[in-house]
Amino acid sequence: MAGTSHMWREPVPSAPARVGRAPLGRTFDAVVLDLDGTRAADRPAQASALRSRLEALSDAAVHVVALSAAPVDAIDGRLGARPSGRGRLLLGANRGLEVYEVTPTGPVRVEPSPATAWLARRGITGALVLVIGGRLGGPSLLVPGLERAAVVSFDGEADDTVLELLDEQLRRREDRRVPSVDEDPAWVVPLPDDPTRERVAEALGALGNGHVGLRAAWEEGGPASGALFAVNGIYTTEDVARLLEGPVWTRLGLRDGPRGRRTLDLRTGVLHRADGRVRTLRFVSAARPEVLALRAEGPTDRLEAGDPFTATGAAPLERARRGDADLARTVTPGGGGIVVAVRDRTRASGELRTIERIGVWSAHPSRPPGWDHPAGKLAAVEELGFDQLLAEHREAWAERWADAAVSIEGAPDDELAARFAVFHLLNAAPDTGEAAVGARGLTGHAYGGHVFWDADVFVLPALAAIRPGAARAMLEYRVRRLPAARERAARLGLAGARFPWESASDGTDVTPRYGIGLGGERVPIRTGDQEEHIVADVAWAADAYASWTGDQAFLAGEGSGLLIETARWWASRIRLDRDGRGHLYGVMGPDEYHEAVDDNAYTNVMARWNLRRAADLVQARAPDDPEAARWRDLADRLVDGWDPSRGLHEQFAGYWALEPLVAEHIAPPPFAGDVLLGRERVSRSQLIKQPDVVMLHHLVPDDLRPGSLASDVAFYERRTTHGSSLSPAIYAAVLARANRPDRALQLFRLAARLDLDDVTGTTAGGLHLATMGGLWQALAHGFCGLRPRADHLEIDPCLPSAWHALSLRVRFHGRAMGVRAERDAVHVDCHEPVPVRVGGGDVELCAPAGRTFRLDQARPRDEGT
Amino acid sequence: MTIVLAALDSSAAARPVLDTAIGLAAVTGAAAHAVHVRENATTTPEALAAQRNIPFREVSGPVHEALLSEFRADDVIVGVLGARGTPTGRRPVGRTAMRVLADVAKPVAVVPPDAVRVSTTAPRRLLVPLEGTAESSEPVAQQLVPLLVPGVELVVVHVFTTSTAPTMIDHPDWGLEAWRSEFLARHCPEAAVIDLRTGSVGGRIIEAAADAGAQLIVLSWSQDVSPGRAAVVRTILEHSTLPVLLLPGGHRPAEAPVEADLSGRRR
Repeated sequence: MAGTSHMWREPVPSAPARVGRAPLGRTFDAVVLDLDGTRAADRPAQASALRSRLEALSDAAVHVVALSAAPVDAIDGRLGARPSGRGRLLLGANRGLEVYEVTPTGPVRVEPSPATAWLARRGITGALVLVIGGRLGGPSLLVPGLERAAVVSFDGEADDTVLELLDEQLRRREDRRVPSVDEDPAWVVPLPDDPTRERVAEALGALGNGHVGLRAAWEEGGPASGALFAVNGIYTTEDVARLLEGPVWTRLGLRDGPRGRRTLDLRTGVLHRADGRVRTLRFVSAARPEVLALRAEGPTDRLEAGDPFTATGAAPLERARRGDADLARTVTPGGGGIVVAVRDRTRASGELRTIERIGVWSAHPSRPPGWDHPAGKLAAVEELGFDQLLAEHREAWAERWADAAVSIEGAPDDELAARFAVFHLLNAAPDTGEAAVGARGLTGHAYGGHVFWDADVFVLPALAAIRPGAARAMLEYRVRRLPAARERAARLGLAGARFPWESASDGTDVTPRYGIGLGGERVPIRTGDQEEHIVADVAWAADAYASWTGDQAFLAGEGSGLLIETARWWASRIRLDRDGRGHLYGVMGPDEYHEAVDDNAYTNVMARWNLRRAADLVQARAPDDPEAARWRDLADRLVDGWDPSRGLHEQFAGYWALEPLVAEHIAPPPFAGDVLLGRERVSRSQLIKQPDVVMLHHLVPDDLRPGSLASDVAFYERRTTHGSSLSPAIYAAVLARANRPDRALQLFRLAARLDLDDVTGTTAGGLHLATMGGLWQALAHGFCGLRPRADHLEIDPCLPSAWHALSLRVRFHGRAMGVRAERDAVHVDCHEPVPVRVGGGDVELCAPAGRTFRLDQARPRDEGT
Repeated sequence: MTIVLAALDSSAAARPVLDTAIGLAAVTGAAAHAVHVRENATTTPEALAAQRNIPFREVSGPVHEALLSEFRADDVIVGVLGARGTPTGRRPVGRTAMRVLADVAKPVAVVPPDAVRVSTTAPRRLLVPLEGTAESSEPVAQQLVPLLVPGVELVVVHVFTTSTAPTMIDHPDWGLEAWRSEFLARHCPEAAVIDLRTGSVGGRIIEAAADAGAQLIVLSWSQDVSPGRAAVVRTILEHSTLPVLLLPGGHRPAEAPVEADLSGRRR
């Protein structure tokens, strides 16, 4: 984090210092060079030879950091280099304490210092760095962040050695060798290599950039493959719309496979494959969202390019050529399509073949995209070259992580799982336009790409804090579908907007009416008709976005319909009894074990919140607005399930009378109660599928009875089967706030491993994005105790005993900041002043570069006021 | 030439045994043959074989050893025998049959005397119960699937128990669809359909077979017939009115030595 002091220490070589003149056999993206170990200072010829290499490396997009004890003018005078390529030349003067970038006009001082921080901001870390020096052990080269760097040290004068090493890097670039990956165990996820878990591996290793998703299928395919390339918002036109499967563009002719090791690098968003002699690396660009890229190398008797495309779904693959570019397209009848254009550059040198494939995609939701646009764009993109595209992509990922970093000290497995979740959340939605975030995102076919409340309540709150543009795009999806929601409300004879339970392309309800249950039984699905709480969930999401970003203008303007029209729905939906109390009859809450219930606490309280929030919005500009006044009145009348005799919220009317089963008496949770006991039996019991009342304590804690958190959690947790992937992370968040962090950690870990260990048996169909969003919320709202308020950020951490510290980076009201929570202190760092309230204290301004707040561990826990 | 060998006795099981063998021969592209181990002078098995125009042999010796020897012949790919002599006979299967089943490292179909849906045509729908383990699915993949001619439908059934029920099903349609899809892809990609049930495993399998209109049940098993083992297999053999094709897999007991006199004549 900025402001953290760094220690000079020895870089730990990832390989023994080289002996002899054998090539290193790896591609590096940065070279750190001890200038003082060369004779470039004394001999113009050596300086000239070095200068030409440095400038060539820049053209090849390789960064060079030249260190010296001398001042910068002396270094620059010695070298005289003026690189003009994508790779930068940095001069680390005065033993590396001052860093300058060499521009066409000369050296310019840059931040951050040290140089490794500069490299890290470009996604270049550890094993991507080659350190060459003659005096390792001195402070000039000793910087943090190089633990996995390759280090070559030499005694005395070894200019030839230095030049050979640099020439090797230039040759590897010219030969289009597959780039390296910094296999930092804190950032890489090895994919399962068990053939029976192939589809799980493909989902885990899925790449994305918010616009497209690409599963990690082997390049040569295979009978077990479930390859997928999909585009956000592009659906089929079948009766039940599903994500349209686009042309998979990664196919290679590979013999004797599939085999090898695949790793997903979370830090730089690339998928790497290696099986000794065959290596591949692919990415979907985070910097240029339309760009796709793949490099491969291997023996000529094993690797060839072949046909780059694979058809994976029902839609046939249409083919075309534009010059030597290959194009493929899938379309859905009467609807849209996806087209991909690629061009391969193949090179054979001796027994080694390298293949470089650059591609461009294009799509349209309602008509087949043409061939010429992607073909034309491909030509322009190719001029940039693979290395530059990769450099831009890495830099874009470094920028993403700068706003979304997670660190959990003392628990590396938890930390990696958390980063895995954040990685896929960042891939779920683009930063612009609209984003239809399905239950499994673009990582698999399951759930057809349909948008549920998973998007609004689980994914969006995380993105609002770590990638606000993406959250805004998710809201744009809802805004553009307000007309369809209004139409549905009108058809039902009610007012306002009735958002659908499952949504796809046009905002109409695409919830299946029937499913095939156990024994082949046709089972009616009532969620589409009864889970009305999604109407309030959409409104809540808009407010959550505004809370994190401070974008009240959205709520008052373009987003106002998401609050006002939803309030109108509730106002027309509530029924008053003879005593004037308000009711919502025949609904289904988040707990889907119980259908057609009356006064589900979750639905009612969220509706109440919705009405009041909309009234706030309207009365802010029109204090006497009669409609807003009516909303407040209805909100006050709406029953919320509070039972003072029990000190609990009743989940729905009649819940207390159900069979008082607790989950652990049936089986150790998690288990699918409707499968184990049958739908009928479980519906007559108090068992619940996932948090319902407890969900309220997570979303709208201020709207519940003070002091009810602990009692509601204690009661309902025992009755929760966690038969939904949405369940454990939310419980983790709430339990942490209820001062039970160690129990919270147990459920956090269940959620964290849900896809990595394929707990549900369905990860093959795609990753559980709601679980991932819930995980981030458990970290942020639960363990870190973050809560955005109108004018400050609440921070009230509660760490489990297994964690030494938890660090998160977020954006609050447009300001980037980091929070590091320890057991007895909170460190906040920021570049601009941020008002915070730590540990229930006063609101104080945290000034740049940061501040430390002590925590009173005996302080009373704030249960949500 | 590969052979499906029917072991005929003089009981009521003989006819359905022979017809099952003919059907299995048709579905595997093999030839059906019949053998009878003569314990007493009777011509019923021979006559049956003659009716179906099936090559027939008669051998002498202790029945268990003789059948083992016959079933173990290199050209025999599937053995077929009767579960018991009469519909009310020894449950789940006769002692001799059980010994043979335990000792033959090949697929053996066990046919009840009151078998239904047995004809001489190739069975078109096979019910394949799978546990979701390699021990359960590998025998199907290695011993059954390679033998089948095109057009045979495999219907997988999986019975959830407390220990095997899915941990989470988010959605009654999409969730089970995703679970089904992956289970089939992982354990029996040749099958187009999977039937999910809960409850008593053996009973649900028999129900599923009836509901699916299957003509044969295929079970992988460990061949461990010690007390308390192979409970599901025993239940199905006892109560099923369909032939049951047992595929040996997992740990197998060492094959018992064959001591019978293998003299005999072929029709």
